Amino acid sequence: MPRPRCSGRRTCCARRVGRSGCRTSTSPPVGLLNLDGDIVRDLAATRRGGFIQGLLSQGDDWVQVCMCHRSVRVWLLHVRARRGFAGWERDGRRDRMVADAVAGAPSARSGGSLDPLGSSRLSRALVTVVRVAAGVLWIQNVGWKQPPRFGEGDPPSGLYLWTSYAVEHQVFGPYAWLVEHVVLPNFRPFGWLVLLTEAGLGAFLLIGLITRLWALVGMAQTTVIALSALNAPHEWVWSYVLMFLVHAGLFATAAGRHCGVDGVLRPRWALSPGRLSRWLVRVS
Amino acid sequence: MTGLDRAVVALGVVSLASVGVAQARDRYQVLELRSWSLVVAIGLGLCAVAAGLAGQRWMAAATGGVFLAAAVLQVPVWGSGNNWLGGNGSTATLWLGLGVGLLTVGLADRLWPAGTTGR
Repeated sequence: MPRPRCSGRRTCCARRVGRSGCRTSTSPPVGLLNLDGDIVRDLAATRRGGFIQGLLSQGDDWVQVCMCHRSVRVWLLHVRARRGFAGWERDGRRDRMVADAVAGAPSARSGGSLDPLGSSRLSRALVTVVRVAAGVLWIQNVGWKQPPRFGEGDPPSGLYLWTSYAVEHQVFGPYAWLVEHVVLPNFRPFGWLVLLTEAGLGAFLLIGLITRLWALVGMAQTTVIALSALNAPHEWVWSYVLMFLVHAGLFATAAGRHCGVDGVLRPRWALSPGRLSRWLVRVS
Repeated sequence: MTGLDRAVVALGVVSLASVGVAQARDRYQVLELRSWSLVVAIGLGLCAVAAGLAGQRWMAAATGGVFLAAAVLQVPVWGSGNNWLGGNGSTATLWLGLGVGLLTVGLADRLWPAGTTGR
């Protein structure tokens, strides 16, 4: 990424906190704090008298920045291009820089954005609706997988019956063999596994927590269901394809960052040390 | 009101809204809420909204803990012949989500303090 250039009266200065020397920033920030070290409305800073002051966290380094606003604008454009975000909004007599490079949930009030999700409130709302609907789908379908028998009996019903379709209406030979010889003879542990997986899907997709990981789980679970039920009577093949693609879409858009718990906590995770925080940033 | 508090309020509102959603029947039924489960949804939902409005994170975390306990209790009660709590697996799933969400948000200040600059 090219270095930002200062086009205003003052020179750009970005330096590592606690270290001497001065260097310009060459990679996108993952957080923006004020000088007290507090997150300013996610990742926002105040522009006063043509200056922006704040702390940027770049990977594991803290960088103190003091830039003329025009150079910051140039710099933001780089970030926008890389991560999708950015803009300025008027707050009384001051301009506010609104940037959310971590959560990718920007509020662009001026200038065009390269990222439709970043700039469009409607797009973010639609992504939220899709995520919540996917969560409700799983929530509703946990309701008929009743423990402890999960439909095992004579005649079979519920989850046991639908799982047995993998054998009766075979989709994929090896999977049918696995169901017939491993799953059906030991059905209760399998039933609990399905119940817990789908309960997790419903719970986490609904609130938008660790969303990308659960979107992957949703794709895997949809594949397993399709391998059982795709050729069952009166089933519509496209329903499983669409179900898979909905979760792929949730993964691609990192849907929890929009009106989800991920969006609220991700800036903190990004700025916290430790493996758990880094893992949460990756899977959210 | 901070983003965390707004999240707590939103989770409480979801619990209250679930009472309306539970009125749907037949093929549109998403979850069951009867007898004590109604009390749980309304009572804990109000607690979460109050916690969010008052900015009381400990109260949000406590409400989340009770939601989680209710979810864990609901599953075996639903599977037994005597479902005195009145919900089903879908109810437990919803409460699991609300519980995890409220606990995570309520404990966020302890787990991931804002403004950590000690690197």
